[in-house]
Amino acid sequence: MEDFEKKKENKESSETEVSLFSLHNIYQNIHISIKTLDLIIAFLVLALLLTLFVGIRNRGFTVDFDSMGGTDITSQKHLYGERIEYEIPLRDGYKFLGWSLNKACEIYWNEEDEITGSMKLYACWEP
Amino acid sequence: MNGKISKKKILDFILNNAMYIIIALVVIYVAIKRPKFLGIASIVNILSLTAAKLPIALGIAGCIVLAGTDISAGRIVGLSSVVTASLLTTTSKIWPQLTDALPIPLVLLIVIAIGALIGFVNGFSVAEFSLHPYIVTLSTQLITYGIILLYMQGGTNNGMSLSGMIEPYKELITGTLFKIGTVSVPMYVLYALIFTIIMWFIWNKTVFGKNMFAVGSNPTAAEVSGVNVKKTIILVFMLAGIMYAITGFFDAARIGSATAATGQNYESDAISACVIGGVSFVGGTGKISGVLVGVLLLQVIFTGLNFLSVSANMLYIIKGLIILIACAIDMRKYLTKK
Amino acid sequence: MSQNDVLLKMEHISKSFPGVKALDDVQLELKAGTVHALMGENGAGKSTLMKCLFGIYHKDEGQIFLNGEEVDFKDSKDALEHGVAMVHQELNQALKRNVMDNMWLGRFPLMDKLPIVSEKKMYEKTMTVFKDLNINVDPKTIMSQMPVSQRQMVEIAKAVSYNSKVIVFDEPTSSLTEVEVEHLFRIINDLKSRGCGIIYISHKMDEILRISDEVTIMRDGKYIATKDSKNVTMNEIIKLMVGREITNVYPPKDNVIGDKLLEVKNLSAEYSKLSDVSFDAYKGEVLGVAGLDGAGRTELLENIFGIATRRSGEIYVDGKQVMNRNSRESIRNGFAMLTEERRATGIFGVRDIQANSTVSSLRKYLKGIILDEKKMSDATQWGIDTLKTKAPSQKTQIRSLSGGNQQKVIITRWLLTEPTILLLDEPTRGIDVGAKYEIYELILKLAKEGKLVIVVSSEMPELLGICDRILVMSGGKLAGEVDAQHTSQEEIMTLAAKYV
Repeated sequence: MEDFEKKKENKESSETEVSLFSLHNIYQNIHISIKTLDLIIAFLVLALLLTLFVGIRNRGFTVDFDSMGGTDITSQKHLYGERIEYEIPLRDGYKFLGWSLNKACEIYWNEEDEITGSMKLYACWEP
Repeated sequence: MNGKISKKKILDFILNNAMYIIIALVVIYVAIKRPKFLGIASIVNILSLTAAKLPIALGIAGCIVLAGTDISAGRIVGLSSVVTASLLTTTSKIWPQLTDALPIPLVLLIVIAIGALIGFVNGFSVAEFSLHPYIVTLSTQLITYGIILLYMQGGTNNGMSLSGMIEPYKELITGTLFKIGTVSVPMYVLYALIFTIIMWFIWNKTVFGKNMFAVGSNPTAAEVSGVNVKKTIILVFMLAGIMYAITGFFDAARIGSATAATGQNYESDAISACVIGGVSFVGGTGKISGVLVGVLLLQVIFTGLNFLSVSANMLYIIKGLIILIACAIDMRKYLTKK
Repeated sequence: MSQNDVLLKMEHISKSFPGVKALDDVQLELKAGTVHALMGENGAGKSTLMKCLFGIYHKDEGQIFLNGEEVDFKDSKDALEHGVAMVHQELNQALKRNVMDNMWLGRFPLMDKLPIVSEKKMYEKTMTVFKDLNINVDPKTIMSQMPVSQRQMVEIAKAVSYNSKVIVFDEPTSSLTEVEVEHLFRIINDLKSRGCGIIYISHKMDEILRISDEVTIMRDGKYIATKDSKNVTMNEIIKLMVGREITNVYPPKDNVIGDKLLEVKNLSAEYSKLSDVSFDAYKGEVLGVAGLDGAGRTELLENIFGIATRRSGEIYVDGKQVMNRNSRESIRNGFAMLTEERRATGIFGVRDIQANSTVSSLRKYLKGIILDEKKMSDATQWGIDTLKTKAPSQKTQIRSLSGGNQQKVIITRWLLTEPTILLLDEPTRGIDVGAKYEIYELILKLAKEGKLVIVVSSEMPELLGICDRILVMSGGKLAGEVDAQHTSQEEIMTLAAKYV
């Protein structure tokens, strides 16, 4: 009996000695029938198609405006390739320079630029 | 009898290629709804974006061949990108003492060294401590992000996005390679092509490449057969780190600015591209051409959805589902062959 | 139930996989209270037939009758509920759980009134079955703490607890010692006397002839014959299995022993009980290593080859000391090692034959830093031709080959490193008779070329047939050394039990 246990220990130690990298084959211990897997794939594909459908139905990019202290401008929803409705906010004692993609006013968004995604625009002011 | 078999074959074909079929359907739908999608401008746009994302996918593919993964990829891209942007400008807020931009090759070497170093940490931890790459790269991902945030606070920058890179650098990356009609193809498409060829050589024609596949397929057998398993694992992760650094080096010029968020979630796109392209999580299998196809297909579907004005929020869900489907199909292929 | 009632009948079973007809009109008739051996070379269709029985594969044609009623099991659980059980070659058990959890998994006995698992009932029920079968195991032992033999006993007890009438044993003795085998056979005889029908799959001829009442032989997916075990000889069975007559099982020995090549001094291992092993070996010699399982035979080879941590000891080749700190160094010093567990530590399953053949000798094919495709395919082809490997092409995945051909590819891998000392751990395990003979021939051919071949094997006739000398290991120590020509199995067995 004792001998058996020792033997077991030996076996285990020699196994751990050689195996360095315990990742070998992540599907090795998966016991799933192909049929079930097919069902899962079918279900996932269906879910994807549904999401695509919903995504296309609710299509449109949101354009948010941060007037940086000026009067609020409401968000707009547009399709790919459309242009924003160019609204100008007001702020006492400041002159509006335009809308920019970053707060530092480095990348201005022109009225004729085409929308290609959701974005947030920041107002740029000059005292 | 025959009818039954061929019916089963058709079903097998449909299930094994479900991903490609869906992508084909989306492309057809988009092409009908928005004919501009197949215009030259749009195709060049898809190719450029594919080229931009190719190096990172090539790097991650190596980790997946090892039956591992690397989720620190995106953050390494980000770090490389902000370092590049901060050193290749004449008005660096992070390094106020720098009055002029550093030489471009030097900056490239610096970011490559950073990528290789983080890759080394990943590889070393996986190889020496037998930790699962998911855990190791999760921690390096967080650490790298912390470093990015600290770096962005450096000097007088105060976390602002970095832009205003010098023209020669921008020209080198985004300059015109050649023109198709009025649409210009950027230089980095050429570089991505060169890296793809180099990686193909490394994977297929070098001792290191063959060893990488051996380790991915059966690490114990590889060790017995005289492959230096630890060295191979470390080198694969380092090579991956270098590829991420190069992606970041391109991205600073391609996007025109670099922020702490640059590179975020890049790894998820890269991993799904690899799995779609047949780089299996089983380990030990995969081809460079597969990675190329994977990145391209993923780009096609996302550009297409963008043309349809599908919002970014939905895209996240779609991306997640695509990864799940790709893995399920990968598993199915493995199980049916077993 | 009388001796002659037919318990299980499988008729006209056919099964095709793309490109292969795995089973072609196979039949099997199992009578109650008998042990029916199923024999055939690897790939003859034995496991496919069993998988069809248990519903793991769907048979294309044919019928299965259990007690005269046609059955078609959905899966192995369905089969188990109908009283058809299988004791697997690789045991599928929850190793971290205890014995009774494993016995009653999926049908835990509940308390009388509450829907809570009753540990007490479980314990009692387990004890009843164990007492019945004369198994001496505490039902609360954690599975992983028990040796394989006892885990197998649990599996048998589980089958009995389902009132199984048909029990399939797939290579049950492959990891058992002689004593454990005796116990297993006692249990099988006991099951027989209760009227169970046993299907017994094994490669070991002597076992089959001892335990079975009838033998069904399959070859290439076809049914060949069913014989009464009492009136059949080992040679007849081999003849039916391979379809040709093998006159002598071992090739003629004509290797010449030369100068001293390898000297091992006081070798002890850090993590196994291998201790203080010293021996010399000579050029052109085939040196056998015998011993029971766990005697330290594999550990001896692993320590020489440097893939296990050495505590102390020295190794000399041609009088010069070599360190062999890892496999790379050993390969440079002219060593090669074929491991015991081919699937786990030998093959790169998803890689092709070429990659599997060349992995250890890649540097030979370098042109600058680029690997030369032509040189690699030439080397692979050389291996395929020399060893007569049956493979569709060099680009075939190795896992789709049969065991014998996989072994040949791995041997090719090692021959391409141009070794002088080959360490072969169970080189013929799980390989069919024809391929075994080819491997013996190869071992002797290598010895004739002046190489030293060290062979570890559990099959004593094999060692006696091809070796010059045999080292006998026992309890991690070297128990003795015998001349293969002038020894007997009894002498080796006595030595093997020396330090147990």
